Amino acid sequence: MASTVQQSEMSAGEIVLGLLIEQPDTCYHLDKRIAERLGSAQFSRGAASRAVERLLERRFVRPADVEEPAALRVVGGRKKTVYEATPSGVDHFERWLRASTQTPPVREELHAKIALWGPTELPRLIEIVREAELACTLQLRDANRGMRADRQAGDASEWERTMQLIVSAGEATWWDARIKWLQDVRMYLEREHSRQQVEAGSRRTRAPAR
Amino acid sequence: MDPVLSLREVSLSFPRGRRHVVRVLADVSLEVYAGESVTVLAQRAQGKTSLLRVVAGMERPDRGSVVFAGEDLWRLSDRRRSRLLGSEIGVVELAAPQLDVPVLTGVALPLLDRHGRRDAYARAKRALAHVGASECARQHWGALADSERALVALAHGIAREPRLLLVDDLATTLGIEERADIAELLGALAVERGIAVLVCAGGSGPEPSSDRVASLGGGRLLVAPPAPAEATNVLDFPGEHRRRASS
Amino acid sequence: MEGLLALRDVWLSYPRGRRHVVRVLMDVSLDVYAGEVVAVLAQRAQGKTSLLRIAAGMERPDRGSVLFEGRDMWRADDSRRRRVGRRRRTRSPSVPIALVRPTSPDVDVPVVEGIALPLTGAHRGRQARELAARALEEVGAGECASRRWSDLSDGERARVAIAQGISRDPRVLLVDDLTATLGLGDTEDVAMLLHSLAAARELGVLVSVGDAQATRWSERVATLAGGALMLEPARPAAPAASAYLNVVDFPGG
Repeated sequence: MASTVQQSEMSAGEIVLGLLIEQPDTCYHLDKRIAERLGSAQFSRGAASRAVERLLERRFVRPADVEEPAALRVVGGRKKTVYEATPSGVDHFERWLRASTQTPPVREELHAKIALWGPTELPRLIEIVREAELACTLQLRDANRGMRADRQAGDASEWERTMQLIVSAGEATWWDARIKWLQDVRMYLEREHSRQQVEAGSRRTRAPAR
Repeated sequence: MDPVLSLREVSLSFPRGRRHVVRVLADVSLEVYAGESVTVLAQRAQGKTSLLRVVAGMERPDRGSVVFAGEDLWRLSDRRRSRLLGSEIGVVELAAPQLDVPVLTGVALPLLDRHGRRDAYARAKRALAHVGASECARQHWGALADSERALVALAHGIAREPRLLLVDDLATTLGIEERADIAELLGALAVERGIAVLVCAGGSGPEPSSDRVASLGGGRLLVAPPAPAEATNVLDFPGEHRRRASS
Repeated sequence: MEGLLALRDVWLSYPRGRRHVVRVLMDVSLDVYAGEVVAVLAQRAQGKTSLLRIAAGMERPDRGSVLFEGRDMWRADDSRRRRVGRRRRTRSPSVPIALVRPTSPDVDVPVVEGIALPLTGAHRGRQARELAARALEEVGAGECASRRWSDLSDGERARVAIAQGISRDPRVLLVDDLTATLGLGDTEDVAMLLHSLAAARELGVLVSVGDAQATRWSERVATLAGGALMLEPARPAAPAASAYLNVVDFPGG
């Protein structure tokens, strides 16, 4: 369980960094933006400020230069610091975005990348999704092996075997859902990519020859 | 307000050879109101089709009642029942038409029993336009992409301007974007036209966004009651995209 | 090393009217080895059946090759294209590749007759019935022999279908989505059955499935979507496409 907490906090850093690159902001608003973009209670409240602290340590973000009073977000009568990404922060983010997703495929990380990916460089994102899909099948395979070994360990009662089967089924269902989602995503992105290519192609043919 | 559709403790079984009986529906109760969209989730062979057939008055349950627009369907004469259902219920399903005619004709034909030719074609054209499938009008089913077929099926269902729309497993072969489009269309139909929408969806893939989701398995239907009118945020999770008439 | 059955860079598409082309399979490769079960996990209408029909030699791909024991099924080494494993005479020897699908028989005869009938080309009536009965025993459906199809439960039907497949003594067994309508227990039973048949008979088994429940007894799991099939290579010595293949290694694997 500790590892999943770690992973989600890790990704919170990159997500916050990505959002700050899009638009410098306060921790208060960042929490809201994370919820909007990533859609669920994956990150606890206050995850943004913890992430910002770590990003500050690594000098990936800094307080924004607030000369104009308009940059101050006055929340409930108190002003909150607006943060922005540093050049090394931008660099780190771009590299993280394009790197292969870690295995086991980290749910939050993949969600985060998809949420923050721009409309360009689709082939790389498609590649990342493909890798995640294949990695999931390997995970399924390994889970299957583990469950087979459990089932074959002989002297369980009928009841115990039934319960084991139900648990195995639950495990399989989880991977099933992941894989199908990744398949759907890949197909969608592939179609989007070819649509872009068709558009680019027709734009080229429409452009006057030089 | 009375529900458009009310199933009460509906049960349906089929014999399988001489040794088995398959209980397809067991004490199923469900209410669907005008302007709302209900999704029934069920895996393959769990009774989706039977449920829809019962609702559409095509299959008589062994027990229980099916009340549509205030009328107990199986207390009516065959003729009255089929007249009522023919005009008030639209069925949306992905099935190749029996006649190989252009799409527009295919959508218009069933309307000829109640409308003149010109009116039927006008309605068909409007239905296709509403779902965004106007350019399929002259095509034949065999030449349509899967996503176009789904839209044409939807047009079939709404051409009659029914009170209840039954959608049978439309999204199975569609990609993410198309599923979202269909979901949005169905949601809009419910909200804007006050249609009651009942969707049956398979287990895999995201279900269309609906006001309520029920689960059908082993013949049993598990369904949350409709939210009372005043409560707006009870089932509101962040990130959910749902159309509401007011918000 | 090549598998018992191999697909190499297989492509398949067909037109849909004049405006669309459905690409069913794009550059699909896979190997199935003797003694293992490979599962192909795919959603509906993603090419499961086409893939298996091509593997069975029942349909020819647009591009690429289908190899059985290293030999191309569609080689044109005589004036008429001939498929490996099926001679043109009526007395055909055992077909090395069997395709099992969930269909119901045309006539509602006792199950053992239904399985025996296609064997009577190569065997005398009594022999055919014996082979059929033995196949039913092997899959644990011996008591279904004298019953009729309409009387069988879904789980029994699945077993009978498999019995039909192995009655011809194939080297490769292809199973097309047999567990779609089965519950947890039956799905598990069928998966275990295929696993033990693969081991006992040294069969190469390729199963297409609609959900991961049915993959528990498969050695390798492939996914098929959008025309693309992804499958880890069977031999760890094969070059890894990217680092991830080396990361996860559980004991007992």
